[in-house]
Amino acid sequence: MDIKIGLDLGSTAIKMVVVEGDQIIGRRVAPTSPGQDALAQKLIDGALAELGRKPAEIRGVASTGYGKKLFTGAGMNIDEISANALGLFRLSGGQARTIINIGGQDLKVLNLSEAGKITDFRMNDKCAAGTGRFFELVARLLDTPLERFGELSRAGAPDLELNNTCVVFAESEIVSLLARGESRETIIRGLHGSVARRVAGMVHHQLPDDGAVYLDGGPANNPGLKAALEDELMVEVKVLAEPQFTVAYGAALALS
Amino acid sequence: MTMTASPNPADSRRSRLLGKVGQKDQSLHQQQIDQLRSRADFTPELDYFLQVMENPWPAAVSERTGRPLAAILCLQAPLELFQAFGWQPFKIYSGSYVTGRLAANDLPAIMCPMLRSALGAMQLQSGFLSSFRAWVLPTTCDWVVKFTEMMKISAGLAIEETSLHRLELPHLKDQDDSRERWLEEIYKLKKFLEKMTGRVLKPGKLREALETYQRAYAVLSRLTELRRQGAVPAVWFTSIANSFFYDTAENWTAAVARALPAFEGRPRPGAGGRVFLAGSPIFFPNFKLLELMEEAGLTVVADDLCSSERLFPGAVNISDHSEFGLLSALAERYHQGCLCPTFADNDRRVNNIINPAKREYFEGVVFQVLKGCHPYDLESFSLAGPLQAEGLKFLRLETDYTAEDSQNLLTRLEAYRHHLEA
Amino acid sequence: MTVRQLRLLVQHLSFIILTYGGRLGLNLGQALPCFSCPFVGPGCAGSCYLIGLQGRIGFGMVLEDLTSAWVWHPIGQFLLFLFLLALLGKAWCGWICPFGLVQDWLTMLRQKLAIREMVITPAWKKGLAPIKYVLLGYLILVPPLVTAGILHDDFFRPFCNICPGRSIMPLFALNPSYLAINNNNDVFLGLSLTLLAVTGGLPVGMFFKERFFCVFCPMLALIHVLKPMTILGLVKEPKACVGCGNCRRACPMDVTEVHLEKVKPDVQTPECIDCASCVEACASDGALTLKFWKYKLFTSSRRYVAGLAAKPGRRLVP
Repeated sequence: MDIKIGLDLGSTAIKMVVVEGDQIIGRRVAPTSPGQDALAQKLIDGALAELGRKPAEIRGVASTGYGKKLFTGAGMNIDEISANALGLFRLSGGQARTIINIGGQDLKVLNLSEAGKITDFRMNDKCAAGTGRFFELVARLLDTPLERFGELSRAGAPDLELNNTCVVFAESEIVSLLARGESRETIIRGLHGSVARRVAGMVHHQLPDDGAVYLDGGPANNPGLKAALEDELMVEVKVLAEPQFTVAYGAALALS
Repeated sequence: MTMTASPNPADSRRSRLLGKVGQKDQSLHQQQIDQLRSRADFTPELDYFLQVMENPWPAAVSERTGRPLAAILCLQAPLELFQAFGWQPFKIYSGSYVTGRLAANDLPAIMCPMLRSALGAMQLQSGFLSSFRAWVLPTTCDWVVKFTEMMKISAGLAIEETSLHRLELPHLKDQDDSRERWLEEIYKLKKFLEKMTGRVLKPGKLREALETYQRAYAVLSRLTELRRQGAVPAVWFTSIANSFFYDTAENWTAAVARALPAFEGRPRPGAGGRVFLAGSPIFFPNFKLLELMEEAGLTVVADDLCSSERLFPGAVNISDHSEFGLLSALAERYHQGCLCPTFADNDRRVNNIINPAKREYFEGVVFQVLKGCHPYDLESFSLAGPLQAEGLKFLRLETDYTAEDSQNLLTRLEAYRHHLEA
Repeated sequence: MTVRQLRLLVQHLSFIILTYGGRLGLNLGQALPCFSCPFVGPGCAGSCYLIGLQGRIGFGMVLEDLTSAWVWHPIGQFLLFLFLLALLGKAWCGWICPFGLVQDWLTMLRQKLAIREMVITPAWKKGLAPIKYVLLGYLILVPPLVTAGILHDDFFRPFCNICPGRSIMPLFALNPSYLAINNNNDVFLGLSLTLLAVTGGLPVGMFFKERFFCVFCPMLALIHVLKPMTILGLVKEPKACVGCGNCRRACPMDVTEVHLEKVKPDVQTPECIDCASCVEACASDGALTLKFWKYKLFTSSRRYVAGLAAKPGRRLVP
């Protein structure tokens, strides 16, 4: 059977999926760095080798994300908002009506119809407040791996509010909170809350009465963020396994 | 093309800054001109507009038109009046991304980028103030109201009181006393121009001026019709509209008439991606959004920008040929007919978009807000609901005089393009 | 040809036909909804219905002899009137009425001379508007009183005796006799002096104010009262109107509602004469339409306005 490749060249990471039928049979991710064209090709070659498939079996390659035009091997480009809608709608089994995507430097909120078509979408302006970049900065500042944020935030005190989601200003705020003696756990919990508030500001009046809300993008792996969003939006927020690959998967689906 | 002010030995740092910004501005300006000239859809008939836009500065316009210049802002001062006195209205604006640096220090951080840029650009012109015999400024938005103050503070340019005339714009349209007050303002403007020119307004001259502008309206209207069919790329429509204030109405009209056949023969792009562009004005060389829209596969078939389709009110019908009749016709047309968002009773503005006869030409509305352009910012919210209720897909974009958000804008425009198909 | 040119052509043709056509034996009846005045003499090709409405052939006669076969004559004329009115509505005023054209001549002269038009303020307009209904009441109510013997016979055709159509239209048949003062008795003296004053004053008003007489015209009032019957009318698409005010300025009757209406499609106001000047002046595609039953006769468009704009003066490309 033919296979399709979906590539998501984001600001932080390059994500790649190999799709057969509509199943993801292989996935790879690498941090974004100069030479994205070669990097993306390496991901494809590596995945194919591991799967034991030949390049000749590839029926098409679609790229998406900020770097979509940088990958010369792509047969088609699609914007990441449309790809996100396609990918997540399929993976959710047609359940998703609202998608909250947190990327390396973007926040996006999408509304879908019952047929999975976008009915409305919002995206942050050039400001990277509350995005993946912000989490990375805080992780560095607190010297804590991002993977532990979810578990640590559960142990934090609930009432600390961070004022800033701005990558620049949050730094000084966190430093002063640490100096004041706030625990790492409480700060992490507070920061999840502040990101959730920023997202809620974009979501609220376009949250449909029914239909599932999904969170995806790299930071969706963080259960603390999911919990904070549920708290802020007052609805259940679903996260699929491997949420950072939904956009790449959507790009592959766009090929058919 | 801009000229650097003569260096002031007492302040060599300033003159170096002026030189630096001037050079950068000039090169970006020229780059945009060259880019337009090298487009596949460029034809020799369009060169006139690029030549005008290559140098839209007072000295060049003075020479081009052979007329005294009156500086204006906004659309409320009836252009025909200047024409009737043999003067050339010159619209103050700038689309430059770099000249704002010269003015930024003494201005609010968030302000109309167009006027900030203009406040910088005028510092690059030697003898900018003395290029104009008169200044006619309406009280539209706050930025325009405070413009002369900002000129003084940030550009060090103080307009002589005697050559400055303000038009106090009634911000209500549907009331008889507002109409009367505005007519009084137009009479005052007439008297001001009579004083400045030392001539008396002749109704015959005013009628001629009206006819001249009617002909300009007629060619713009034909171009607009072609654009509805998708035959006029937004960058060209905007270049043509932008160049209006930098040559005589007669020359411009003739040039548009010459350029029309070039578009009449153009193949129409496919049915998809046709949009109405609303919001803050777009002035050369700030063509970022237009180019990104094109890249995303969107075709602008209509707009309500005061820099493009609403360039001048047009269609001033006259039923009374006396001076009073002509002036009231102009007053009404420039007030009642104006769709500027600074008006308080502006509920009919949306009709310019949802008009059933117009709606069939596009599938959605892209609303551009220049960061700091408060009236349009507010309207982007008040118009969204009524437009969506009409089944129009609405995209609000906020941007600034900077290229750094291009990728972000493009992503949204591409998604919007897909969204239109859904 | 522009709509205005077409209208002027129709107006002139109907002026000629109605004023002189009778000499060729043309007879269009006695139920025309316009000032086609039979006092012009044998040239009149059909007479104003107001005369029938007031005279012995009008309702006065219905009252006089309910058993006579003649009763059917006024009823027949009334039905004919209703038919003509239903068909063309106020277009009788804007497109056909010969007295309307006389007013338009004076306006054209004023425009040529670039003399300022008199402004009737909204307050004045509101005050003057009821006069035409008062006149309508006068011409409908007085004749039955004459028939019933309550008023003297001298009040026969009470409106014609003061109607400027009667004094002015015969001038086009070179007949100034209706300008004469009738001194037979006090009633005639009063009426003829009124008419003389009206005839002297009205043209001044008509010169300085477009369609000045129409403001007072009982025929306009009568047609408007019967508006639900007419199939010709002016409609607006409120969603297409940006409120520029061109329609208001173009309107010979100074109607403001067409400009200000934001909801209702029906903008056929009491003063409207269906001349379509507003439709011609409107540059919003589809905002105003002159409609005949379900057919759109003429719809506003930017293309039309731009076409007018391009017309006067020099060529576009030098």
